[in-house]
Amino acid sequence: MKKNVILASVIILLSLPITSAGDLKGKIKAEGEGLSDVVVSLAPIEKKNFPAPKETALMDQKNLAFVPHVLPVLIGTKVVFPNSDQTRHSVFSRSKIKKFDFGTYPPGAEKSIICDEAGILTVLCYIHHDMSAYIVVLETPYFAKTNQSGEYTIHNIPPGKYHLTFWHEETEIKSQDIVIPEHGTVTKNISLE
Amino acid sequence: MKNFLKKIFSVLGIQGKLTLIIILLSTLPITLVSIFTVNQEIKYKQEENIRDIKTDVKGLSERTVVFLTRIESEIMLVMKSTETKKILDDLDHNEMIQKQTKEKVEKEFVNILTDNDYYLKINLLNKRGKEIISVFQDQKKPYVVEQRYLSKTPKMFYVSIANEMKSGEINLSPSEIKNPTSNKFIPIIDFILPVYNQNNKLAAILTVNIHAEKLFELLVPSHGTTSKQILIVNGEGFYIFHSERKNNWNSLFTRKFDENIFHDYNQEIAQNILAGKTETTLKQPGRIIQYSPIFSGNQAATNRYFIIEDLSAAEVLPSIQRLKELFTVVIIFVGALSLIIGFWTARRFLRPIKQLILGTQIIRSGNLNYKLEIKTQDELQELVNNFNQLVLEWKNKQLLEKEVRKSEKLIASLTQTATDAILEVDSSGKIIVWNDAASRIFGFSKDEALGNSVFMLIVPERDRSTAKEKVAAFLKNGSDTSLGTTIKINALRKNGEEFPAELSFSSVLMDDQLYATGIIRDITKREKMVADLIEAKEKAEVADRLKSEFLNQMSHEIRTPLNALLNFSDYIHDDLKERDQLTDDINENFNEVKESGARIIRTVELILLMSQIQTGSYENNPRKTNIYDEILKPLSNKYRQVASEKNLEFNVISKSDTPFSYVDPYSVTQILSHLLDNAIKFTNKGSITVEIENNTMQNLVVAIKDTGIGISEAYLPKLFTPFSQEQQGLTRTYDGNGLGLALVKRLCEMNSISIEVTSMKSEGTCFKMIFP
Repeated sequence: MKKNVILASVIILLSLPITSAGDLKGKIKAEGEGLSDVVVSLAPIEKKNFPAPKETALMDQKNLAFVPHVLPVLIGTKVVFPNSDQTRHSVFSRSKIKKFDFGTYPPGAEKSIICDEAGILTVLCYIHHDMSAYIVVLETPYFAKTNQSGEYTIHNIPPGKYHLTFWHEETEIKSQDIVIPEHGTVTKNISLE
Repeated sequence: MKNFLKKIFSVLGIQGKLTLIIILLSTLPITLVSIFTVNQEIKYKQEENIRDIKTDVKGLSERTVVFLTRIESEIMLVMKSTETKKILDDLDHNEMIQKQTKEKVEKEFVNILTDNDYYLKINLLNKRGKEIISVFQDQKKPYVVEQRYLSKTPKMFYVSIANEMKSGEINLSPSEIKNPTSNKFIPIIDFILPVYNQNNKLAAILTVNIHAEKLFELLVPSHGTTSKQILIVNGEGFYIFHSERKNNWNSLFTRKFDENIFHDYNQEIAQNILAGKTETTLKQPGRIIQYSPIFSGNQAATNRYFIIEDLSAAEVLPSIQRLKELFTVVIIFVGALSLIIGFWTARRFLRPIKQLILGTQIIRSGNLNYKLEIKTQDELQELVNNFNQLVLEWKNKQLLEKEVRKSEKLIASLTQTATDAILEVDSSGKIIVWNDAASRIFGFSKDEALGNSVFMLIVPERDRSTAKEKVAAFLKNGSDTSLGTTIKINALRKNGEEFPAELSFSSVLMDDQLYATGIIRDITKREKMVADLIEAKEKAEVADRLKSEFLNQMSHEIRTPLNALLNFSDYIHDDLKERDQLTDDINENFNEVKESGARIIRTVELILLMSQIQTGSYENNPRKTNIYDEILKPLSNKYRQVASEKNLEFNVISKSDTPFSYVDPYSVTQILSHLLDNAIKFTNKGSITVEIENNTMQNLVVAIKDTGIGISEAYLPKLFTPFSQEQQGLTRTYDGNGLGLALVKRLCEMNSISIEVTSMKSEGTCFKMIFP
């Protein structure tokens, strides 16, 4: 098994053209302050399908809150919902791209979904009405989320033309085209209303 | 198990199924009736209690609705105020709310909180879920959250719910919040009220957190010390409210499986509860459970509510418990009473029956004299009387049967072993009985004979019609001249041979039917034997006559010439003597001739006499005779002479004065002559003594004693047999033909003289005659 994995990795590495890649970084502000939990993504203008990642994404429940509050994932990613709280949770979603209802499950239990459609998934809990989280399902693996200061970095982006998109739970989606060079870092700072 | 029961029954004195049945019959009905009655009463009481529970739950539901309506109207009243309308307008337009208006609304909310301590928090959200107003109470103190402390994150849950709701609906959602100071979870019911603007568009969302425990405590009336539980569960079966565990809400919300109806109730009940059914069930052992949906929510499972009232049947229905105790007492009492009655009844009725059983056993064992003694003066008595009568009849019948069997056996044995043919025919002459002898005599086997006509089988053709008529007449009249008598018939064998037979008839009446029984004896052999006998007898008679005649003639023929010889020899003797030519030698010879001649004559006379006696021509003429004077005296003169010639003493001693007897004098002379002849002949020295006397019976007794050679004891019994002498052949010393004593015996018999002899070898003999 391990051998196979190594072999597959070698083949993938060999098949990829060894090209240089650029980085994208920046800071997003709103009302003059750095805005956290903004999902920044780069989608190639030439549409391209990316294989689903093997790694699962985590949407934890701790202290009556979803952690993280915003979770960007590539389409096809499996997201697990462990209950790491002291109380039970009853996680559900009524979003257009995916509706689910895990029912009530106790601390220590774990549920999961596969995000097979791009879009925004609002995750809620029937028991704790103040809890909410967003899973941003993207068609590109080139994405990042802003930290508390509103800063973000996307590494190793193949050079080319991209749609640059910003998403935040309280604002509308903003989009613009951007070119990533062969080498170097592109900086893009944005101020949202 | 069976043996164990048997043991117990026998200890209780229950032996036999009947006893058990009687006991059960007298025990069961009363017991069953009392069980049924008490059960009915319990059922009625239980139903009454269940009705109470139903009423309880119904009341709870109704109260809930009323309560909710009250909360709704309270809040809606606030929402309909002009200030709130202004806020909505503001929200609709620029989302900027005037501080004054806001404060007024806040004040209204605070009023609501102050009045009712089950209100925990009232929030007004904009349509995107952002908090606009937030008022809460803690420790009965209301607080208004300042603008800067309002949550920045939109409450997406409420937005999500509100967007799905229709106008006029209230959503009640169970929830929990964490008290930030105590860190404890507080269960709440979230009221969610979408607020619409004039265009009927969602303008804001009002959320009210209601302290669930306090709310339900208001709704659920106190039940004192009973174990009645009021449970409220959500659509997943999780307890939202639990009247028993309310003090531990933390555990209620943290442990999934323990705090769920599926954990505490059976699958069926739990499913029915969550399916929204309203019913009462006793399916949980020991519990009475009534459930019903409340807060008509049609949302997700977690947002549905069901109320459950759960009672311990035993505890909540104390009257039933009391009834059950009463029931136990009644059952025990009634059971015991009816058992006693049962035992009494069993004893009353079964004792005679047992005696009856014992009696039958005794009687069956053969004691037919046993009589049952039961005095119950009822049907049983009658039964026993009849039984005794039956036994008596049976006994008589048995005796009769025994006799019948015996005689049947005897008859069968007689029939089969009889040498005569025994057969029985019915009125038509059909053979019914045919014994072995019949088969032997007639040649027909039993199989061949039975069922066939007796006439065709064994009656010669020429006699058949006569025989038929006779049998018919015999059977018709029941009697016949032949009955009991024996008639001679001609019978027919299988081989066609006719033979003479003797037939004995008798009739038997059996089952109104007359049967004829016949015994047939084959007399062929007998007939022949009789004929042979007659012939032989005739031959013998002729031969005897011829013999006697011959003997007579022979005697005569011998005697006549012999007499002539003797006479002429006497004549020659005398002549020689006259001429003196008679020498001693010649004289001796003459004596020899004379003696021999006399011997021949005596022998011939004896033979003649014997012959006469045997042929019956001897004439015995008894008369009163003086034995001494007429017979003994002349004889003694003669024999004294003879005895003296042998130098023997000869004595006659008469001791009788009346020597008479009624005899034939010739025969007695013959007897005495022979005896005296023998005495002298067999005595060589000594004496001959004749004694005559009367014995004690006055019979005349004549005894002739000698001192001769005597007779051996062994020979004595043969003494009177003809032609016998003790010594036989050429060696014998004494002449004689052995006829003498035989003749003496016959003559004695003819004259009723008893003769006996005693003798000792070499000492002498004594003949004693007792005269009649």
